[in-house]
Amino acid sequence: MKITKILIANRAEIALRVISTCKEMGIKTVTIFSESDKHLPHAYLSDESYSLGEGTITDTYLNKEKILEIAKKSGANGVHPGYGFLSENTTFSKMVTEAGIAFIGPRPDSIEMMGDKIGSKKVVEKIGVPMIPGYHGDNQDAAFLQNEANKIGYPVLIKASAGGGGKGMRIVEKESEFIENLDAAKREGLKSFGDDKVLLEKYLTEPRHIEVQMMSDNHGNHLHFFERECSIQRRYQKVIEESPSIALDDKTRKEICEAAVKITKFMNYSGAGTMEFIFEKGKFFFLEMNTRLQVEHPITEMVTGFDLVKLQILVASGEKLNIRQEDIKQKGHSIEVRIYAEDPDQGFMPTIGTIQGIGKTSMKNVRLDTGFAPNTEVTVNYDPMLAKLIVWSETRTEAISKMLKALDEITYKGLKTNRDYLKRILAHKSFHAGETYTSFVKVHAKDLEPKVLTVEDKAKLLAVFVGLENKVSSVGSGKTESASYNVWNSIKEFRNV
Amino acid sequence: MKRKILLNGLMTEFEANQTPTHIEIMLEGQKFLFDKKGNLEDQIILSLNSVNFKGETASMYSQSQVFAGNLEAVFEIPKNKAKALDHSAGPVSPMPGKVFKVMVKNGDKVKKGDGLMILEAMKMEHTIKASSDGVVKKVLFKEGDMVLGGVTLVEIGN
Repeated sequence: MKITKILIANRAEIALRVISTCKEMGIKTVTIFSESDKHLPHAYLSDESYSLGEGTITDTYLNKEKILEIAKKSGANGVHPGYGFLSENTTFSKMVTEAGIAFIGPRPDSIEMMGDKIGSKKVVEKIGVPMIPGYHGDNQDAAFLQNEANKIGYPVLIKASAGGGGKGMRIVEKESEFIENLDAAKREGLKSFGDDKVLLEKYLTEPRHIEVQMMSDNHGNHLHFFERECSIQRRYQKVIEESPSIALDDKTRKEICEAAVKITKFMNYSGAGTMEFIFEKGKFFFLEMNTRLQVEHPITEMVTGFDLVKLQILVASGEKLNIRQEDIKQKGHSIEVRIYAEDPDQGFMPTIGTIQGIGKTSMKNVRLDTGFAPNTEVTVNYDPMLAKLIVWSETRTEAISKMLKALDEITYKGLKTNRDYLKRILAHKSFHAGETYTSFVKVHAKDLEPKVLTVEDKAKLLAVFVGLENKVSSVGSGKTESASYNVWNSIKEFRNV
Repeated sequence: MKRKILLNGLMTEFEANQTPTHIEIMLEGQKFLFDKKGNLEDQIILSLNSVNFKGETASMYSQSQVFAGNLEAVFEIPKNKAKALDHSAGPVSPMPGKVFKVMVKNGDKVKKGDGLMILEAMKMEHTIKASSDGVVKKVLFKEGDMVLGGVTLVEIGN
């Protein structure tokens, strides 16, 4: 079925991302928006847009019936779910398919299989893809456990089954220290949780998050688009991603990508997906599969030159992908940073405000995927991600320095963002050295604190303030009406209350 | 003109003089002379010892955001002492959010622990309570207003 009109069941940057590919393919787009989002570009940059009314996310972007009704009414014959929201919801994908509309995503059975985090691991293990070595069984005999620990290889982590918060957790460095630590972990488990059952796992000291971009059609073509490294995370959320990964040599890269293809082949997968692995010292272990387009997909597009959304649409139309694996190559280096409305120096607390301006850059191969425009308000109702900034360069070193420059230029006026924090990470010597482990922001927390301003820095800031304070700015007053005002006066006014 | 400002929360005393072509800043016993190179709609291009940089400002509720080259800082007019004392008696927003409900009006008598306002933040409702007995001197926000974290919401006096 040729897809001619797509309803995008999402908001903000990913909705705009899908619109851009649809335009190139001559496909009409339909967007949906909650009333609180009606000023955001996704509410008006499509060919048609419909309001989901007021209310919580459940009433709006997760309202399956309403969204399907809009799809039918608008005559869309394809639904793109983006990421998050309904992208991995099989009830929704079935409803869409049953209405005779193409769901631009995998079949429901694939989503269900990978949605079961324990079940999927068992399946993947069966086809010979490595898991983090461990013992999670019922046999608690000390000699037996010692033997299992030896098999896993040291260091080994002993965890109280019922545990949490570090209690009943022991890291064992060598075989001779196993029994004493086992006894201690069991005692702690019993004292803290009334249960002395333990489990064993390989302790990873330098783990990295490496994932492989997958794309399969319905004609038996299971392709990979190489890896992304997303080890820089805060609170389990990715902040900086890059491709290729500095940690992989050609041989390991081939192995990890082939392992990923083995899984999509086995599932007879269809569409875009991401195979996530934990990687340490040349070894990789399967973590999970995401059965959707990923936030960080642009870096893969930058290094391979393929438009992943276009491929998704082609696959959902039932077309055969005329791409051979050997046609897909990684060229150069790409980095993405996620610009969040948050204050990294205040415990990553979300920030709010009205975006009064977004900086511009004239550099080539810099891409800003954002769902906000000047004079739009950022509230705490949705995810704090404002934008993704993506750069491409010939080498990693060049890409880092280009990203630092781009971050200087892409300012977000009107609210605090993590922009400076991202620069501190990128400028860190360990980041340059490629020592990008998932513990990065914790280990280097001290170095990532804001730099102390010099007298000259302060003088520069003061000069700007003084130079602009009496100028009428074209900025909104925080409430989006475009009243002109003076920064200094507006402060005084507020303080006079 | 001698001035005081909170720069990233730190009290900063400085002196500034401006001509159509220059800005002079005196700070911590040092003098900095900036050339005004360009003056666009809402930007300024300055130069210090021939090094050019771009400056911009934006308002952020009660504060100002200032960009200078690769620097970004928050400016705030310092509160005077009397005000600061008043404010210290009032309850403060625990995090940024939206005022969902205002339960008191100016002049109301309140007891310690009375609910004053409900703030909606991080998808939860937070009741803002009076920290002491007193009289509501001023409700600083109305329903539907967005507030930053750490901002006084209601002034309470004796």
